[in-house]
Amino acid sequence: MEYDLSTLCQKARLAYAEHLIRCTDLDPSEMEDLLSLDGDLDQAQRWLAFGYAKRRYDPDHVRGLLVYLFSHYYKSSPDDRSKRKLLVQAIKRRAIELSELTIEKLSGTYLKWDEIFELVGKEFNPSRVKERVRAIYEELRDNTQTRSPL
Amino acid sequence: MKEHQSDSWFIELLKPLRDIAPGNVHPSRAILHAYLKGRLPDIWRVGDRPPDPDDWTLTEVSHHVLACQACGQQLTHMRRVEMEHAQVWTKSLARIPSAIRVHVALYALALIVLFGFNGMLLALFPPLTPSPCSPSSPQDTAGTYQRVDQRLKLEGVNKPVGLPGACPPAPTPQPWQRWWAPWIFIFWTPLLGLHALWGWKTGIGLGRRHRTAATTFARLTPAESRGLLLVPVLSHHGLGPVSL
Repeated sequence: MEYDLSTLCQKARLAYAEHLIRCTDLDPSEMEDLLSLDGDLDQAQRWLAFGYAKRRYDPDHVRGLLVYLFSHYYKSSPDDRSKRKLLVQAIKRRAIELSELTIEKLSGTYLKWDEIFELVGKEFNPSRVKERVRAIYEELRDNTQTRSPL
Repeated sequence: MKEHQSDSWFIELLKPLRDIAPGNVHPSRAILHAYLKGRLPDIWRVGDRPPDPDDWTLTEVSHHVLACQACGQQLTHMRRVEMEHAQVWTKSLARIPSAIRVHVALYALALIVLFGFNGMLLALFPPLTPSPCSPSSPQDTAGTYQRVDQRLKLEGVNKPVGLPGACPPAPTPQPWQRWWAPWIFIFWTPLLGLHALWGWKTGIGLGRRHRTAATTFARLTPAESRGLLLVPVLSHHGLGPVSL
């Protein structure tokens, strides 16, 4: 099986995001090297910002935001309407938990915020969570710039 | 649209995975089924897959299906079949009138509680089995006869005296400890079923149809008459009259 480094890193970043949704609690400081193996530190730091936000603030809010992003913006096969129906039914019956989700199960399901709140088990302000993640990313970027010899 | 623009920073992260060539290793149907049911191991593993074709993690299948059209179509088909099965069940359940469904559910619950209660009583007060009592040795028998003889002399023959070899009075088992106790509950179930049927026929139930009728009735009649008419219903359920 052939792997180029960028594909491997992309897979690692997505796998990290998936593990954040399922809350397997991987330490972000230990993931930095792996996620930036292809030299794309910016991408790595964006994902790591989610990991740090999950540890610093309410983890369920960050997980809920990730669910929203993957459900709306990740490319999926267009004809899979049954996926959304089954997922929404499972959420309404409380038959599914965040720990069972994957990017594939979420992609193209276009979950509404109230469905995500039901899945997460609490309501939150998505804009505030987004701001927090971006603020942590800025912190990480500033730290890198101060550390660099330039 | 506005939200989409504000999310652009996040969308940049979600790059699709490169498509997998058809000749590659694919998860079996059993693995895909296990994936749908959430039965695959959730461990962190990134890089080359191990040689075992049945060793897939949740993330590996997720990523593979996102990048492999053939497996994606197979999974879509499996989801459709699952949804059709679910719809068949939902339709068959929907055909049963709601009043009967509620009654059956309530009485099944009551039956479980009663069996549980009976089981608890049996555990707390185990059934008593009286053992035949007999003198343990010939010396004891002789001694007992002597004592009885002495008591006969002292108390006179008119008083009742325990005979040798007779058992001491043993506590009798309580009604719930008898063998026929569970059968009462078994016979009780059809009665409850009949009650459910009666409730459905007469309109005294918790179903949607009956609830709507009761609400309409409450709107049309004054409070006194509502109170009077509710008396027989509440009495039937073992409750006293309630003034509204």
